[in-house]
Amino acid sequence: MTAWLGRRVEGLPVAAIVVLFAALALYPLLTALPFWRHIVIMSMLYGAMGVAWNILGGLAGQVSFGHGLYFGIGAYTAAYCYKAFGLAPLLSVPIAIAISTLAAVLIGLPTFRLRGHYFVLASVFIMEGIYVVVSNWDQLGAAIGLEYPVYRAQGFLDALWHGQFPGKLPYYYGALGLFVLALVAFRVIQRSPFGMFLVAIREEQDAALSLGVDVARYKLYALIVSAAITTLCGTFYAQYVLYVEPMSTVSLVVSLEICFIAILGGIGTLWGPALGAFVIVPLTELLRAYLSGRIALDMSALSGGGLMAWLEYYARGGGGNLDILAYGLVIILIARFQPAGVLGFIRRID
Amino acid sequence: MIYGQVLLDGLIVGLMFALVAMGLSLIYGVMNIVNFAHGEFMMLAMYFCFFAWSLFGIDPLVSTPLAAVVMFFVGVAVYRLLIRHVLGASMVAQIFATFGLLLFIQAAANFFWKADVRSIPTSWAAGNFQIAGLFFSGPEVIAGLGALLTAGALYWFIHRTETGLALQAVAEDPQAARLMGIDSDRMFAIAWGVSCAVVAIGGGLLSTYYAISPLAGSRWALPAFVAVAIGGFGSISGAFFGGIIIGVVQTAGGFFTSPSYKLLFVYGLYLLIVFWRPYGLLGRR
Repeated sequence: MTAWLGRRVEGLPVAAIVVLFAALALYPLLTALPFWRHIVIMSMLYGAMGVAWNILGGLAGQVSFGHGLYFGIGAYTAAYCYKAFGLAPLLSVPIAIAISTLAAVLIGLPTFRLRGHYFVLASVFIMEGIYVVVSNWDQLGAAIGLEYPVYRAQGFLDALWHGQFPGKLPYYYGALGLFVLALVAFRVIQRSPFGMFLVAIREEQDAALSLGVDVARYKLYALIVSAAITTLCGTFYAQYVLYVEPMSTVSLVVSLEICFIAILGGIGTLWGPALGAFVIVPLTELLRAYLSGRIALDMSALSGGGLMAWLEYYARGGGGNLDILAYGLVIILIARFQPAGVLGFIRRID
Repeated sequence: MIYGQVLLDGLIVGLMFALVAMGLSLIYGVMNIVNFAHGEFMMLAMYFCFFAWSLFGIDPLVSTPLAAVVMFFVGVAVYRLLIRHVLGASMVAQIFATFGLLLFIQAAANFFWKADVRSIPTSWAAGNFQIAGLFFSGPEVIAGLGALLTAGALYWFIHRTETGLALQAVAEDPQAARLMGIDSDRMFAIAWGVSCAVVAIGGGLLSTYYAISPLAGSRWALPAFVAVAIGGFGSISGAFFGGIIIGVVQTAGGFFTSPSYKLLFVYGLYLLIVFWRPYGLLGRR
């Protein structure tokens, strides 16, 4: 009767999965503080994107440093359509996914012929090029971006139509929905013949090719699915922060964050990117909240103050950026000591 | 005449790109690692020269060789502490090692020296002159000549010295080189030291006219990857010519459209090249 609870999905017993997701669903009961809810919302959002990235990066082995593009397409389409035509964000989702599919085909077809560093650098340069274009695109607000007009919704349906909710709770369950959607999509693909073709491509592309696997086509399908989920996350993000600008969407930094979450957790695994997001997102959010808020004194006031004044200056946070400093250090240490990701570390303890 | 000026400006920018690209290509050629933090070493050298000037009144033209020596040892230390341990890891782990280093060094520079833009206005190199209708800026001409000299020295080192030949041997076939009694670990460390020293010279020369900030280095390093790709990954002389090409392309592209679009031409060039020849313009395999 309860035997299915003992079955394992990639090492994790079903009972544990049920408990974990029940805990996630009930977490808002635990705290009403916006900051603590925000951390979990962002973890689930980035978790969803890490899992989506993993469909292309983990299963098919195509390491893309350009997923910020699809995130940005989702965010900018929603913001632009709402501001320009008053279109409900939910209705802009199909438009955004159509655009991201088109972008995926246009980018995927030529780049999937490249291998190794050539592919990685191509995705980096496409991302940087698009960043330049978007930050000079006047209709999209150029470098300043697009800000939503504040809308006071009357009731749930009205809020859903305008994509603006007064509290964090609806966003919380929205993010949870995306997170589950991404995990289910990954699992379904992983278990399907399509997923097995992808793994074959990752392991030995030439062998897969010689066995008649249509390598280019399957890579492209993987990118389209991965991009569509990322686009959905982008639309959600725009509605959540109600402000879209280039640096936090179509930038290399965002792209690397998405990819790093998947790699940190364990590339190619179901739970790895989910775990990675819940490690790295709270870490960065907490670091940002506690370290970057410490704005330093004016440096010119220090001249002549001697060594003690300088030490005090650094003790108060110096020129800032301690959060990024710590983030960089974490990345270095993981690459240095645990290149297989955190999940690999847990497996080793087993 | 205006086109002549664009070409001249592009050439000087290109010589600086060439220096950055040669160091990148050296590391890639010898150990197959893409060093995303390369520009940060350049930025550190710029700050080194800035503080030598502001604290001790030493001219950047004097402190640049010192910066090169210091950065040589920084490069060796980075290799010993970090890079050596990811040599056998996946490409992704290697990329994150050097990308984490980029974030770390940039954030450290922000923390210690703030994001303020600094400059060295009174270098010996300061001053402008005009020849045949072309405007020459003193610091830029000296930087260009310094870059040319350094590039020549690096070429001589790689192709004419015993250490340089050993480096090439390791790049060609590490196992065979080991059998010939070449200590590949030592060669890798030297490659990192030399690469960082070369880019430090670029930083020192730039510091006489370019705005110094924590982000200054990455603005040079990312386009320099395009130069490396043009020349074929791992080719030192290819990277030199690649650097000059992207300098001219960037300057001309910015001149004919708008300076904010200049990098688009460089990135577009990379895509054109790899779509046409997936292993680089002069690359093999």
